[in-house]
Formats: sequence, structure tokens, C-alpha cells
Amino acid sequence: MKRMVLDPVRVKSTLMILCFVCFALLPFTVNAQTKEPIRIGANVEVTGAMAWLGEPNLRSLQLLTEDINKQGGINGRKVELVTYDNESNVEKAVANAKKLVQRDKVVAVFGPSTNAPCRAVQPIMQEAKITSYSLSASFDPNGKDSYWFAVLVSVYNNIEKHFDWFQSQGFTRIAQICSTDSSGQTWHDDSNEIVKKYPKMQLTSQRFNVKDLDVTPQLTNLKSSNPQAIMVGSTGKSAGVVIKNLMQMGFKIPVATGAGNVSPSFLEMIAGNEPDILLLPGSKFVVWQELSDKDPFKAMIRKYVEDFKKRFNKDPDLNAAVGYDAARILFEAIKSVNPRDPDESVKIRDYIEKMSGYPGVYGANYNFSAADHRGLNKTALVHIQAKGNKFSLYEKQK
Amino acid sequence: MKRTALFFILFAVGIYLLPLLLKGSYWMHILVIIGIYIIGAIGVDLVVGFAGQISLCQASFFGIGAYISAILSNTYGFPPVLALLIGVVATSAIALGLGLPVLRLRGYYLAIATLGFGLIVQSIFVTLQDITKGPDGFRNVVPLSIGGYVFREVTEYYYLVWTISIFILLLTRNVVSSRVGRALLALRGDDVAASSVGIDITKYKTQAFVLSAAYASLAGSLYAHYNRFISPQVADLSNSITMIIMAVLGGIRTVYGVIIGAAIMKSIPELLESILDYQMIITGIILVVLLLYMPQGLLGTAGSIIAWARRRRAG
Amino acid sequence: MEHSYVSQAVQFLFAGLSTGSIYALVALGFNIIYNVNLLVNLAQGEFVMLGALTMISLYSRGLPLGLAFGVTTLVVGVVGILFDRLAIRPLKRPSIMLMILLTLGASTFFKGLALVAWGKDPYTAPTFSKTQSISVLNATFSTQTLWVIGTLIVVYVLLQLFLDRTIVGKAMKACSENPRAAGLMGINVKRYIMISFFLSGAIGAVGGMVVSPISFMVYDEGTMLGLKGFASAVLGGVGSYPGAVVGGLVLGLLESFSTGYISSIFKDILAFLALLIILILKPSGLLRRRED
Repeated sequence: MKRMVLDPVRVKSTLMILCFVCFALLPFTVNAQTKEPIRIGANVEVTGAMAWLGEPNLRSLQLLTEDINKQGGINGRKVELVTYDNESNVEKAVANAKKLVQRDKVVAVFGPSTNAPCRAVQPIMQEAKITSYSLSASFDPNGKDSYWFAVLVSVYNNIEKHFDWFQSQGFTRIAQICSTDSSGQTWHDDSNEIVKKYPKMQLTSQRFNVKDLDVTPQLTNLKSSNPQAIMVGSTGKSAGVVIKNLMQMGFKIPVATGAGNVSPSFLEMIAGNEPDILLLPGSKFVVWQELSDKDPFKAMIRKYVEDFKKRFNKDPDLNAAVGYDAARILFEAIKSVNPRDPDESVKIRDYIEKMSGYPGVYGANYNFSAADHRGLNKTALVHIQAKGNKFSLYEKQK
Repeated sequence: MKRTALFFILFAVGIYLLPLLLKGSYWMHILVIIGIYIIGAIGVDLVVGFAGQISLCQASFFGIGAYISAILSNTYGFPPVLALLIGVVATSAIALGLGLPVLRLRGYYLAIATLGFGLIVQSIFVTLQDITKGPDGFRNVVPLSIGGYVFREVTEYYYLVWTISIFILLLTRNVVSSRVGRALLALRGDDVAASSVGIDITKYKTQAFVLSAAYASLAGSLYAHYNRFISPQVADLSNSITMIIMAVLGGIRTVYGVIIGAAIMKSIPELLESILDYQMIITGIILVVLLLYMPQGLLGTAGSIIAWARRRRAG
Repeated sequence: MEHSYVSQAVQFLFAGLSTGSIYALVALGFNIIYNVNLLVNLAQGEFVMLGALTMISLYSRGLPLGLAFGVTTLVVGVVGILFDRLAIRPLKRPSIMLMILLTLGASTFFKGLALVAWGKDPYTAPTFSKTQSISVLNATFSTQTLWVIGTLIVVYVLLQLFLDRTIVGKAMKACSENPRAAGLMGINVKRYIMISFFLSGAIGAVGGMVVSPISFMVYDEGTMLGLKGFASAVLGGVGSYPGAVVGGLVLGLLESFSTGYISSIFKDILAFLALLIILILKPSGLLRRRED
């Protein structure tokens, strides 16, 4: 006969177990706070759908950290990286951010690498007043008293570059298919705004869920407006699915997509399904070997590529490059400001805002200000194309 | 019963004194989460353990409470406590609406109906982006405030959440030892026996279901204001499964067992950070092993062992 | 690019038949286990996922596609058997609640296993035929779509032949209709339970493998597939094999046409909305009663 309600023995057991659990947890509450090392947090998409963005970002940070520590650290203080994988998941990103702020007490945070986690984490870092560097092109770091910075030319500028090209080709009918997540939403909204500046052009849009395995219904709908070019407002696997379907359905028009796809994983994903013309917004970094030897960035990029290759046995892609720039900028600011605890993170932010003419391996100079927390604009962009399993300058072929 | 009260008071005192030891450290945050999930998990125990119904959508009610709180407080400026109460009422109404037709169903169909409901709710959170902010989550949820007092620190939420949690546990204990509770328990799932004794078991099952949903909504609202961020993921099936595991692990029908269940389930990810990748496998194995070899859970099995030992001693 | 309403409709039709065939294959797997064990296996979708990922791994290690296909089918069938032995059989007092939670636990376990083995990356496979796409009435789609639909037909026909014409199959049918009587006639019911799990795993895997070239498989893709497959089985009448095919195809077509003509919003909800409605309107009528 089972006892159903409370037995003092059971309550006692509960109590004892709970006490045990609490005491077992106590060691973890001790937060060994030494003021000497510089603690920097990383909240990055190491695994998950966006790992191909986050992982290279992180590697560059690790590369720079190792190099700096080998030389004695920043101002003689070792840099300690506290890295958390947010698994390309907003909930995890939020949980990680809280850990970095409450438990690890970092002075600055690197990442996340994609829009949605950045937006989710933004209020937390903002409230904690910790300088954060986002690695997402579609995340907007600007705002009053913002503690956020971001790499890459903004998605808005990326789309403008595409539209400039469309116009130069005399196109008037453009189609786009964007995912319903934050980055797709940004692309969708920005495009609709930009098309108004090109009065002769029409834009038809379709949306799809990043989890969709098949978007042929949406593409069929777009086909009916007879577009002359199509934009894919999505990054990663979902972009791969779209392009696969585009080729399967026999689309022959030029395809344009965003900077987030400038990565070897993307090339692998579309292997065998390459559109005739596939344009992406790249930078000098992507095509550095095609640059003239007199180009001011070539030497710097070459050194970075060699160091990265030596350390990780593979070439760095655009995502690695911007990760490197973000890390360098953060470290530069930390060097000058020498923060002793998280309360001084604001000084890092203030310092970066004053940086200008700072060369980056992206292939451009960064010019920050209180109003511009990206430091880059449309002029840093270079049209590249994905063909033959690699990226190359597009302008050259025209 | 007096001894029970004594031990529980000791436990409650322990909870209240713990912050002095932990001093606002990261574990206080985990304990707040544990406290919140206790409220949700005891709801599962009510429905699954006491009423013998299979509910796979507890997380949906949790999510509904969370989103109603977030939307009403942020977008419409409602005072958080009012939003929370509206959430509880609305969720209860939804649970009633779902429960009336669905609790008539047997076994698998009930499970699948609650499963389907759960997926629909999550889909709604994802799709109605204008209101819910979609899959990327609702950020910057206003902190909880009662009267003019705004809850900001972990410690403040700790005391609030655990006070509510302890109250809910006591309330549930009363509910299950009431006539309704004992009737439900004795006739668990056996509708024929019930009707032969003249008890409308469907009515009681529905009551348990609605009460459980109310608990989940309360927990969800607390979570929204505490975490300041929610996403459709809180309404995920895996969250429902987690709460079921909490109830089963601790000991189904022991009421207090959920404390252990919640403590363990929410501590595992923190303690096993280095083997994060294996968490899912571990969760799956825990559930299967529990169900096969220890269906009474930790507290239940401990109780059985002690009862067995007593009987042996008594000769 | 020419466009007509016909070609649009044909496009949606094939997309729907393709997805629907996968749902149907999952539903068939469900029904096999249900018919023999009166158990709803909520981990069915995981067999689909395991099938796809295993084949892709074998293929990437150099095995020719056909061989990888065959080996994987066997492997996942065996996984099904292990699942029965380790998770289902030890249950001393089976109750519906326990079985549901058990299969959910198993589903979580399989996902966790896949996560460790393959990570969170999406994988895809090459199309089975050399030509990539074909065009019908100006609608273009992958040749794999034909493979998917064809596989469904073949599997269904083979399954019916197996159950009606072979001794093993007929014995299994006997077990499902009346296990006590079957046992009394000397049929080793436990063995046929094992066979039902093997078949179920194998068919699930086949579904996963045949769809992998058209889409990407990830470690957690199985859950949704399993649930929609189950919805298809219910729509067509739990336990009915022709019902599974009809249910799956109808669901696939509903999804495809609603996405095409309205929006993709309703895609996932559709299955469960339909399910909920049917369950509420016809609560017990869908269940095939066992004569015990």
C-alpha cells in the first residue's frame, strides 16, 4: 500500500539531500577574483547553425590572445579569455551573457556573431555597462550611450551595393527571398527601404522559415513576376537550401546575397549547384592576392593569413578576418585604458569611439565616432563572385 | 503531521538563510530558476501523478504566462502584477477550453492532443512576430514591481520566488490531501470505478489540469520578469519533458520531491559544463532508466526503502 | 521564364507529394509497431534522422551509395531491435503513460547520440540519379522527388506482400490481431515483436535516406518528422497501412499548397490543427480495436 502524502521521513530525506546539494555547490560560488589578468569574455556561436560564422571569429581572437600573451600580455597583464558557446541559440546566448557579467566579471565581451543573439544580449550588456563587440553585419550597434560595436559593413550598405550594380545593368525587376529570422528580417526591411531610392525598380519579396527544407513554392511565386535578378536574404544552411532550389528550378538570373556567406562552408554547400553569376559583398581581404603589391593593406593581410595558417592549419576566411579586427581594436583600447575592473569598461568604449584611421585586415581603415560604432561604410566594399569553388573579384570581369 | 510541519519549516528557514552564505553569487541565479521551475513541475505532478493524465504541454502554459506578462507589461504598460494575474486567468481559461474536450480522450490520444497543442502554441509565438517579437525573442522585459517597489537584484527575486514556491507547495499539499485529491488518487485513471461510486472524475481531472496550467502560467510570468528575456523556446516540448522529469525524478505524488527534481535538473547543466555535448544523452538515459527501474523517483524510492526497513524491524 | 498557373500548381504538387511520401513512410513505420505492440513509438522520427546521417557518413567514407543505403537500412533496423530490447521489453507494468514517456526519453537519447556523433551541422547527400532535375509542364524539380515517391510505392507494395503472402508476415499479422491466440498456436510473439521493430526502423531509415539529397538532415530534424508522421497515421486511421499513405500524402500536399498559395506560416501548425480537430470530433472511432 503506497503512502501518498507526507511522511516525515521523506521530508527529512528531502531536507538532507537539498542541504547536501547546496553544500556541494558551494565550492562553485567562490569566485577567485584576482585583479591582475585582463578578463575578456567571448559569447560565440561555436556550434549550431551559425558555427561557420562564430568559429572562425573565435579562432582569430584566440590567435591574437596567444600572440599577445607570448609577448607578456597587455601592459604586463595576461589576457584571460572566458569563452562560452551559445550554440547559435538566443536563450543560450542570454544565459552566457549573464554568466560573463555576474560570475566571470569580464571587462569586455567579444560576440555574438549573429543578429538575433546580439539583440537578445544587447540589453543585458548595456545595463551592465560592458563594452561588447558584435560580429554581425545586420546588427545595429549605434544608439545613445551604446556599449556595442560591430564589424563588417552594414547589411544596409551591402544591399545598396547590389542595387547600384542592378542599376548599372539596367535591371528593373528584382526578386528577393528572405528568412523570417532577425537577419532575414533586416535584409527584407532594408531592401524595401532601399528600393524606394531607385524609382524605376520593382522588388517582389517572399519569406521562408530557416528550418524549411524546400522553398520551391515561394520561388515559384517569385518566378511569376519575371525577375531579372534575385537576392537571397539569409545566411548559412538556409541560403544553401534556397540556392539549391533555385538551380533545381532552372533559374538562370544573377543571384546576390550577403557578406555572411563569404565563407568556404558556403562554397561547399553550393558545390555542384553554382549559379552563373553569384555576387557577394566582399572586401579587399577576400581577394587580397589579386591586389597590387603597392596596396597599403596587402602586407598586413599577408602576415595575418600566414600567422593564422601556421596556427590553425587552414586559411582564414572573411569571418576570421573581421574577428581579428574586432579583437585588435578591443585590445588596442584596453592597452590604452588599462581597466582594473568591469566598472571601467566604459573607458574602453569611449576610447574606441575616438579611434580613426585604424587599419584593419578587412582591407579598410576604421573610423569610429560616437554616432558610428561600425567604423566602415560602403566604400570599403568590393563585389566578389563565387565561382569554381572560390571567391574572386567581380568588377574585373565586367 | 506535526513532524512534517517541523521539517518543512526547517527547510524553509534553510532557504531563507542560504543567501547569507551565497552572497549574491551566480548560484543565487540558479536557485531562482530552480524555484520557478518547482512551481511548473508541481503542476505536472498534479496532472500526471495525481490525476493520472498525460500532459505534454506544461511548457506551453508556462510560455503563455510568460508572453502575456511580457506583452502586457512592455507593449501596453500594464503593471507587472496585473499582467501576471491576467496571465494566470487567461491560461486557466485556455486550459479549460482545451481540457474539456481533450480530457475525455484516452491514453495516446490525450498525449498527442497535448503535444499538438504545444506545437501550435509555440508556432503562434514564432509566427505572430508583431506581437511576440518572433523566434529571436522578446527582450528587455520590464522587471517585476509590486506597488512602487522594483525588483532588480538577484537576491530580491530569490526571496520573492521562493516564498511563492513554498506557498504553492503547501497549497498543493492541501489540495491533494483534500477530498478531491484523495478521490482523484484512489481512482486514478479508472473512470469505470469512479462512475460506479458516483464521482464525476472528468470534473476533477479538469480541475487538476486547469490548476496545473495556472501554476505554469505563474512560473512563466515570474521567469519573464526575472530573466528579462523570453523566446518561443520556453514553450518547447523539451521544456515540458524537463518538467516531467523533475516530477518523476523527485518522486511522483510526493509533492516535495519536485524540489529535488528541479534542483538536479537545473544544476546538471551548470555542474557538467565541460561535457555539455553529452547532456542530451544523459537526459534521455535518466528518463528511460527512471521509468524502467525507479518509477517512484528518488524520494519515493527512499520512502519505500525506509518503509520496507521499518516493516522488517517490526518483524 | 514562362509561367502559368498550371506549372505553378504542378510545382506545388510535386513538392507536396515528395514531403508527403516521407510522412507516409514514417506513418507506415508507426503502424507496424502499433499493430504488433499497441505502442506508439514517439521516437520513430529519430530512425529517419539516423538513417540519413548514417548513410551520409558511410558514403563520405568511400562506400558506394547503393551499399551505404543497404548497410544503413540494416543498421537502423538493428537499432530498432535494441530499442525494443533495452527500453520497451524491460517494462514490467506497461501503462500508456510509461510508454509515452519512455519513447520520449528514447527520442531524447537518440538525438543526444546524433549530436555527439554528427554535431549540429546539416548534411546532405548526392542525388541517386546522375541527372539532377527534370521539367514537367514547365515545373522544374529534382529527380530525387521521383525517387522519393517511387520508394514509397515500392515499400508499401513490399510491405503488403510481406504481410499477406509470406509466412513471417502472416504470423506477424496474427500477433497483431490477437497475440494470445497467436501464442497458443505456437507463434513466438516476442520474436515477431522484434521483427516489427526491425521493420519499423528500416522503413524509417529508408525514408530518411531517400530524402537526404533534396534537403539537409540535422540531428534534431527527427522530432518534427516523427510528429508529422504520427499525425499522418492518425489522419488515415491508426494502424491502417493504406491510411498511412493517404494521410501522409494529404498532409504533404496540404502543407505545400498552403505555403504556395497562402503563406508558409501555417505549415507546421496545419498538421496539428488537423489532428486536434479530428481527435476532438472522433475520439475513439479512429482506433482499431484488438480482440482480446
